[in-house]
Amino acid sequence: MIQLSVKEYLKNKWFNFFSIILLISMILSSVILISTMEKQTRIYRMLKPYMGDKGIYGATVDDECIESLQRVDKVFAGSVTYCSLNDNEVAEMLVYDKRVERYFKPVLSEGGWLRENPQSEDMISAVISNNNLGIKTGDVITVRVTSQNGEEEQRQIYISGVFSDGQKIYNTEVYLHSDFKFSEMFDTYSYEQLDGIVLITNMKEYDKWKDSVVTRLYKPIIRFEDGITEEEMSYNVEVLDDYHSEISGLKGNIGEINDLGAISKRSRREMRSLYVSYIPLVMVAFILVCLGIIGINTVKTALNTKYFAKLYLCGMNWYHNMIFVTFEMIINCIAAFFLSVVIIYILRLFGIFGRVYAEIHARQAGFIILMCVAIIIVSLLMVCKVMHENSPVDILKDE
Amino acid sequence: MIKMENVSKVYHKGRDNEFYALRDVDLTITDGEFVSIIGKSGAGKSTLMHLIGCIDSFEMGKYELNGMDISKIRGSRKAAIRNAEIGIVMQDFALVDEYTVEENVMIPLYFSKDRHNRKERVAKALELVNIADLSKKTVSKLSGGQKQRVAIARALVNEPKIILADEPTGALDSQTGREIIDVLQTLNSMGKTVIIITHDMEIANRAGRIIQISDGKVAMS
Repeated sequence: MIQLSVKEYLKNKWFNFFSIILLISMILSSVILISTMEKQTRIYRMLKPYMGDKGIYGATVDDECIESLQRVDKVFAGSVTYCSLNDNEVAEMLVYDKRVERYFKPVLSEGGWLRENPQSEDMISAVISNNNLGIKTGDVITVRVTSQNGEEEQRQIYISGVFSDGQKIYNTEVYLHSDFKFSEMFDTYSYEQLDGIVLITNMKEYDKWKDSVVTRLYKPIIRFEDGITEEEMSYNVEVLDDYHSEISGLKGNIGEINDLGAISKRSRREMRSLYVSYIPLVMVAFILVCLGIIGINTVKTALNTKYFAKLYLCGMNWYHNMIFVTFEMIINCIAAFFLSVVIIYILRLFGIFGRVYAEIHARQAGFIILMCVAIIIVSLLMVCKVMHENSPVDILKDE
Repeated sequence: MIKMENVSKVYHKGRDNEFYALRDVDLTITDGEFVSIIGKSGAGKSTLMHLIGCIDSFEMGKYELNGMDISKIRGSRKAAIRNAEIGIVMQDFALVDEYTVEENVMIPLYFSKDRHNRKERVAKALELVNIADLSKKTVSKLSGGQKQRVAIARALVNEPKIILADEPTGALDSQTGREIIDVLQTLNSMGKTVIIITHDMEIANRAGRIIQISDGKVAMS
C-alpha cells in the first residue's frame, strides 16, 4: 500500500501542492500569533513562581535585610551596578539571573550573547545598547565602579554584542502606583529617548566582580510562605521600614501599594485578558485553513472515486482508500512544517519580519502537531462520508 | 465451483419502490467451464456478475464459492477474493489511464499477500495476452483492443481460477472483439473457469454453455 500511496500522492500533486500552501499559511500565522502571545506574556511566565497572596514588592533591601525577615519563601530581584564610562556618561549595568536571561535575553543587532574575550577569560563580558561613544562588538572598555569599601576602581568589560532599540529590558525607573502590574517591570528601551547607555550581563559573568563591586537589589519581589501569620507579617514590614529609614532617612516605606497579593491578582487578570484576546485569532486561522484543507480533500476524493473503484475491482477494501488520504496528509503536514521553519529562518535572516515575532519552540510545535492531527481526523471523516455516499457498484455502473 | 441457491438482489427492500434486480437465481458453474450469461439490457446480467465477483452483496439466498459461504464473510475477505480468486474484466477496461501498462497490471499485486517477484509475474501475465512489448507504454495511448488485453492481464496477474468478464467486447469492433474472445478461450483451455456477460449471441455461442437471464431470473441454462 505504501508504493501505491506514493503513486497516488504523485498523481494528485497539484491538490497536495495547494494543501501544503494552506498548511504553511496556517502554521506561519499560528507561529506568529503564539510567539507574539508568548512574548507579551513572558513576564508572567517568568514571575509565576514568585506571584502569591502573601508578600511585598518594591521594598528597599539588601541580602542581609532579606535574611532577617521571617517565613520568606522566594525572592526575585533585579541587580544593577553603575559604571562610569567617562566624566559625563554613566551606564547602568543590568545583571540578569538565569530566569531573566531565559525570557528577556535581548536580540542583538551585532555580535553574540556574552561571548568570552578570547584574550582574557577573566574579563567580564557584556552586551551594550546603541550608544554615541562608538562602542561596538569586540571592544574592551574601561569603566569606573564603586567597590565594597566605597572607593572607585577601574574595571574592564569586553563588549560581545550590541542590542538595538525596542528591546524589553529591566526597568530601573519603575514607579509603583495603585494599579501597578508586573508587566511594568520591563520597559521598552530607546537610546534616542534618553534612556542612556545600558550594559547587560548575567550572573555567571558578574560573579567575577560580585564580591568586590557594589550592586543594588532593585525592587525585589519577596514572597512569604502561605502560612505566615499577621504578627510575622507585621514584623517583616517593620524590619523593611527600619531598613528604608536607615538608608534614606525617610519613614513609612511599606504600604498597600507594595502588597504582593493585590499586584499578583491584577497581573494575573492582565495575563488572562492577553491570552483571551489571542485565542479567537488563533481559532479563526485554524478554522479557515481547516475548511480549506477539508474542502480540497473532499473534492479530491470525489474526483478520485472512479480510481478507487478500479482499485476495488483489483482487491482493495473500499474504505482502505483512507490510507491514501492519511498518507497524503501526513506527508503534506511534515512538508509544510519543514518549509515553514525554512521560511521563518530566511525571513528572520533577511530581517523581513521586522517587528513581527516568530519562533518555533515546544509550545508552537505542540500546537502545530495538534492542529495537523485535528485536520487529518476531520479530513478522514469527510472522506469517509464521500466513500459512504458513493458505492463502488454505482460508480462502476456509471462507467 | 460457483453455486448459487435462491439468490435475490433487492433494492429499497420493504419500501414502496422495492425492486428485485435478481430473483431466486439458482446457478452452478463447475471448474473449467466456459459460460456466457446472456440477456437483454436491464435483465440483471451485470447484477449477477457483481454478485459472482463479490463486488456487491445480496439480500436472500446462498452463494458458495469453492465451498465458502460468501454471505458469511466480511468486506476484507471479499476483497481478497477479488484480488486472488476471481479476475474481473470490465467493458470499459477500468484501467488507470495515467499509469503505464506495467503499472496497471501491477495493481492487484499491491493488495496481494504474496509480494514476491512482482515484475516477473507482471511480465508473465503480459506474455499470456501477447502485449509484453507494450509494458512501458501509457495506457491512454493504446487502442481499445490493447487496453482490453491489459485489463485481462491485470485480471490474470494473481493467477485466479475464475475470470469474470462483463461485456469484454462491448467497446470494441467485431474483429478486435473476436480476438479478445480468442484470448479468453485460450485461458479456458489452460484450465481457468471463464464467465462472460454479453448481449451478443455470436459471442455467447463461443462458450461451452449459455445461461439466459430475463427479468432478473434464470430463464435457461
